[in-house]
Amino acid sequence: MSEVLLDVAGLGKSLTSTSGDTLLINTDINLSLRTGEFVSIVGPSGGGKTTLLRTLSGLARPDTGTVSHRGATVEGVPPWMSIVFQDYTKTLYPWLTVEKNVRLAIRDVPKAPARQRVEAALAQMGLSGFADRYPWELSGGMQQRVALARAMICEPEVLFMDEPFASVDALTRSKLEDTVLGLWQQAGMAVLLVTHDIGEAVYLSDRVLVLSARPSTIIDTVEIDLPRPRAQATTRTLPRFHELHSTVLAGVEDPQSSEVAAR
Amino acid sequence: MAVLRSTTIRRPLPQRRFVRPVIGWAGVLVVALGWQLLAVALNTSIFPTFITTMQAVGTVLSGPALSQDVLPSVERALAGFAISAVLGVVVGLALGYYRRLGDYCATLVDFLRSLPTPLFVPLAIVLLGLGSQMVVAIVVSAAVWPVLLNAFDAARRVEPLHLDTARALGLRGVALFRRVLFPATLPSIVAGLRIALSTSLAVLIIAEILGASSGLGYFIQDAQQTFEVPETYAGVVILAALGWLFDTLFLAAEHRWLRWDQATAGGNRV
Repeated sequence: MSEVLLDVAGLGKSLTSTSGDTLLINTDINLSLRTGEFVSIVGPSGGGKTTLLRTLSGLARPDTGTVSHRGATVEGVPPWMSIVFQDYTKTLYPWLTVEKNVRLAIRDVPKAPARQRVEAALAQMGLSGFADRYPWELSGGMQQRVALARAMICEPEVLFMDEPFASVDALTRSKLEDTVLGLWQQAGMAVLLVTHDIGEAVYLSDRVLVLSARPSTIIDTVEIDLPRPRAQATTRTLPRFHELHSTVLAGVEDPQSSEVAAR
Repeated sequence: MAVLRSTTIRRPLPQRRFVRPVIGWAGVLVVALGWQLLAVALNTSIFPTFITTMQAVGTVLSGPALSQDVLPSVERALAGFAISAVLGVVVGLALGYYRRLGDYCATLVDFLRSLPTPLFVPLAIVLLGLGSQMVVAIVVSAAVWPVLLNAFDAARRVEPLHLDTARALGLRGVALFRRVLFPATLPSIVAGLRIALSTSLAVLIIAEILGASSGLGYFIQDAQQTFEVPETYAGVVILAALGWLFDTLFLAAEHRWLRWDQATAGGNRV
């Protein structure tokens, strides 16, 4: 059986706005992520999904509660995780070529073997021949695949993704979803995906967590028992897919979410 | 050659590269011609003709003044500029990145940079004596600010996701500065460096006039006080030529360093 990799208990986080007001973003978040598990978090926009991911990945410090990895409290940004953000134009460095952007993640490896690994990673993403291009010379979908290659090359235990497909067109999006599924099945890392797209969450995940409006907390957990391997055309037409979609949607629209928000 | 080739390409790029400098030099030629005509018409010993001045430039550059005055000035200007560049980038980025530190130092920086440069000359003479060290110190006291302030400002405005990504990749400390903060702020830093370069030359002359026994500033003042009028003008022309040369070399370097920035800005500068 897979073991618990990441355990989040009683996590709360407030942010201070530019006008100086303190705003409670996440409150009493409890969740766990097992090794090799694909979990999505869905919730309304402005609900603090990104803040939650930043806290879980160590980029921000929790105000209350703890994040622990294999039983040890996470302090700072841990080496066993990678993140893919939504806005690839701002996470790929425009002054580095594609190859150098990816190699930055394994900069402690000597140059020659590192280059080989980068080439292999780019080839896996269908980006052979683009190593010496600059990110801004590539299409949006290709740039996001460069970001994925950079995230995966250090073989993370956990891959955090913050709306990674929200800035590309629908066709590219479904291709990228399958790319991520392929990577996940091959590399076996745990994935925590934040998205506002319920269909995407159901299609990809083992489990979907529903986040309430702000101050957000997890109000529902839906186990996704769709068979794997999944495929866009077949999985998304299964009656069970639509049932699960409705269940998650009902969770998002649950009056409890606005009730929590009103408190 | 270059001008001929440019006519076969219809993009705006060759125009910018070749045609504009040609027009620019035409302007210089018109002024030189006007200078020559005016000087001939006035026929006075205090206003030599353009040709006489250029002959004096030739004499100065082929005489002992080249190694005694011109080259030391170039060295001091470049040394002052280099120190300003390093100091300005390091301190500017640190104050910009560490917000709390920047807040503490903001008033001090504003106070120091608003002091007029000539004010430092007597102080520098007391501390460092007459000569190159003093001149370089004065150059730094003026040229460091455009670099420091631009680096500071750019570090404060750096894209937050650039920094989040860097931290997620495990970059911190010096590696974070070198690999992310510095390249991200380089366009602003380079703009500050260009101002610092021309400031270096201007302040160099003031410092050399006020407290040095060699250098272009000393040469110009000395020639003026001994009524060597064409030499005085020649010194000014050499100074202007140096300023032009520095800026031209700088722009060429900028073009190489910032290809990515010029391309991402979507302009037609590449």
